[in-house]
Amino acid sequence: MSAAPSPLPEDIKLRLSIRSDIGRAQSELTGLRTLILELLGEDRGEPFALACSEAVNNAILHAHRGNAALTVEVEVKASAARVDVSVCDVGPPFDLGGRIAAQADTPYAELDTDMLPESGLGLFLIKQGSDETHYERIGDRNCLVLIRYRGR
Amino acid sequence: MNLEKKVLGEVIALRMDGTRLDAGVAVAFKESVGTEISNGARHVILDLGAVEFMDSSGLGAIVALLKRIGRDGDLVLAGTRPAVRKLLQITRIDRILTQHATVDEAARALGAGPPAA
Repeated sequence: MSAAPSPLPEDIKLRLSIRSDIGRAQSELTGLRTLILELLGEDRGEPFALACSEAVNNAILHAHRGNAALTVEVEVKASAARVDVSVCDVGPPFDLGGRIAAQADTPYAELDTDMLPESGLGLFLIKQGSDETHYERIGDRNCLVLIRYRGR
Repeated sequence: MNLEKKVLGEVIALRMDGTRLDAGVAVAFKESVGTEISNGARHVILDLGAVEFMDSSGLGAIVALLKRIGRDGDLVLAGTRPAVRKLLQITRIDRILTQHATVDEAARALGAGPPAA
């Protein structure tokens, strides 16, 4: 049995500014995962924490191309009903929302080992681990909001 | 990221010492295990007992190693924890990638001999 989500104040906000260094970013993502598990419990929180990690890693590797001078801005909002995590980068415009929506139900439908994909799983995991995602271009920023409802 | 190697006859078990197999360590992990395969390892157990979290980069590294060892050998997982098992289920790679509860169980399944002296 997984741990029950901890009681929440009405609204919690956390802001993180994560430098686009894929190695160093992981320690901050460890902290983000811990917070999400506290907010949502393991069953609902673990896939969502993975989705958020994938969103940040995508921003670092693809939008910022690992340029450590750039930062990915992460904001966590929590209410009694849901947890919202926004991930914003300053990469070029990209139809992230469309790409997430187009993800297949399984990336490993193929049973022939030689044909298995080794990359490109991040968007699939963002879709699977979130109840909703919203993409918006705001000024020079791409912002992806991942939403997980509590107790669905 | 370090790997602890245990030789069990024709089988080797590689235990990852970190708690995360993520985008920060996936390349080093793939290279380290790949070196063992290049050196002739054909029956490999990846002991993930310490790994609490794995992302798509970690999974991609394991898939690459599975493809690399191909039909000439085996690459199996041992000791996977709940978050890692969940990832394997979500992606349905669990239909392809063999998992065992423990390294000993995996070693028996692969027909390992006694540990090297």
